[in-house]
Amino acid sequence: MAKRELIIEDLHVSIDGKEIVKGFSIEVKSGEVHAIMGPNGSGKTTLASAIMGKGGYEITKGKITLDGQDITHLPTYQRARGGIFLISQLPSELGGVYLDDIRRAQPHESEYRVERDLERELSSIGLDKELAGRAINVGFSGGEKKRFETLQLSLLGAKLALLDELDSGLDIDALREVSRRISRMVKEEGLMVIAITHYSRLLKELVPDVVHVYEKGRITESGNFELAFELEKTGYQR
Amino acid sequence: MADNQLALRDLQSAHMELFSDIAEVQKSDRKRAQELLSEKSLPTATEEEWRYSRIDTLLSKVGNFEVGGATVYDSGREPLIDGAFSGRILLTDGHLWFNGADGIRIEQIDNSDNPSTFAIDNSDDYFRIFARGYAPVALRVTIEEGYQLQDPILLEVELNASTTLVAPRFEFIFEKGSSASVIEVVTGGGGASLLTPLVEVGVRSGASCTYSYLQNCDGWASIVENVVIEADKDSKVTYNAFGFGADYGRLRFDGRIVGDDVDMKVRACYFGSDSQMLDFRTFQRHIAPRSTSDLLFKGAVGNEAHSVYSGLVVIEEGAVKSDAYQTNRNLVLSPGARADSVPNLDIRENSVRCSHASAVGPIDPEMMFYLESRGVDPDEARRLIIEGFFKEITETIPNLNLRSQIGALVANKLKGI
Repeated sequence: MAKRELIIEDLHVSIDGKEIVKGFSIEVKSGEVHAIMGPNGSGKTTLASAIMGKGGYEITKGKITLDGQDITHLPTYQRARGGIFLISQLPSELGGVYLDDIRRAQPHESEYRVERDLERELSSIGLDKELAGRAINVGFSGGEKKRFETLQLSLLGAKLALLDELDSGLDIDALREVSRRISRMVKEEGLMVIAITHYSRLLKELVPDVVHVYEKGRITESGNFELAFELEKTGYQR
Repeated sequence: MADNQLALRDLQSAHMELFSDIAEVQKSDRKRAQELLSEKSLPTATEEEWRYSRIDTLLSKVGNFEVGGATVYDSGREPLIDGAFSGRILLTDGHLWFNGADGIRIEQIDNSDNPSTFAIDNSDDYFRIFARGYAPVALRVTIEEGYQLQDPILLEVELNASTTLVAPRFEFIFEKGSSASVIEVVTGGGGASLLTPLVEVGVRSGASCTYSYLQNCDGWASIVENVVIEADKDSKVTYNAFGFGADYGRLRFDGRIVGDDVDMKVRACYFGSDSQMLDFRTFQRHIAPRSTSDLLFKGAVGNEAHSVYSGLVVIEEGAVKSDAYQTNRNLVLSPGARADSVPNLDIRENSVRCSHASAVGPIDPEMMFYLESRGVDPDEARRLIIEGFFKEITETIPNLNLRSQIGALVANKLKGI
């Protein structure tokens, strides 16, 4: 297996000419979980969208490398095929589009895309089989959406999971089931995780190797697991 | 305009001669329609109802139109839809062929002694009255009391001749407690033909009617179809319309709830490309109480195509506890394409539940991003979203052969956009 590594160097991102991300750098290695914590409006979602290559998020400077390949200017679907998987805070609902459609659209030559046992995945993620056969996210509760997204992560496989506020809409039990499944992928398959969150709640379940404080478009402080709980007590204005 | 008026009048007198020998009772039925028509002025694009209709160009061709009479044939061609059918009616270039299984009665109205079951008046659509007055073919299909037909009845209207006007007229009567589905397919149109079919459906007490209409005419054809459905007490009606073809394709749907506790569903999918104009007018008229009508129309337009949806829900006095819903959603896929949506309510009774909603816009970029972020390439993502948009309706089509044909038509449209 090729060496797994994500390197982002001095990333600058603008929306409509306004710079939101101002020199973001990170290095994530195989099997590492990084947490990015920051106040509302610090541009965390912009960061995740830019890494995924979303339209309208212009990378004006810097470089993103995944496993040694420069992906800075690749279109979104090629980044996804390269192994990046984003779970948005509010996943879209797609009327009349099914999980099978996504599976059929995957390239055959992909090296890491796995074919797992659907039934087993459903039970480990705690999702009803009937939901998995419905149109994507249509009529799902907030928690069901996140479980369904996690199901896709496990079914499609990925090298890097970008989790944008994974805990929003999830109750404690759901959070635990979803986090455990992701942790298992980290441990068994070397999945890299960047978890963006407000709260330490998620990080009790999905234990990070590194916690970064992200403010005004860049990382201002990094530390271990303890930093998350410190931030919870003291707030970001320290 | 004056010249067109003249040409159409000539056509009408030609029809008069053609039908001079029909039964008196029928003659009076036709005569009544002809009189109504003579009091009605020809539609023009200056009227709101015909604003986008290309009606002026359409009528300018009328002078060239020939009139098709009906010859009854002994056998028909292979059906356009696969599968088994309880009955078939084929009208191709003025040639008629039909047969039906037990429980279905098919008769030419001109040869029978009963007059039409459906009243008309001056407020009706011009082309409805036209077909009532001048239809070369008028058929009545009766699903007899209590009969539950498993296989659908297939009605095919096909026009291969060019510059021809065809105004066929069909009546479907679902007698008490009967149940059946009808699939109507209109094709052809050749060079600049005009089809103005009229379909009048009576769904009697406790009957169940599923009616699917597929309009897939040639690119030069114009079609103005009128469908009137009268639903009586405890009946169940599902009407599905699929509009893909023609240069100008219009459908006017008049749903009339005349009995209590009716359940009426109205669905449509339409997809316009090139310079097509697809025009839909709907009426959900609640005359009797405690009934539901639920309408959902979904359309897409690409290239320079234009679609119009204009709908009116009317709750008459006395139609208490009516539930009426009206939704129209449109995807605009190209900068040169356009969709207009005009839903309306006219409520004259209290204690009713009504809603209307409409949306016109491009493909949601968030949906595109979602699929692309799952490794789906943009062309495929777009295809999945558009097909998915229609699936909400197409997946409910009970006949699988029709469903797959409509899926293929959507896929085919997508290739050119």
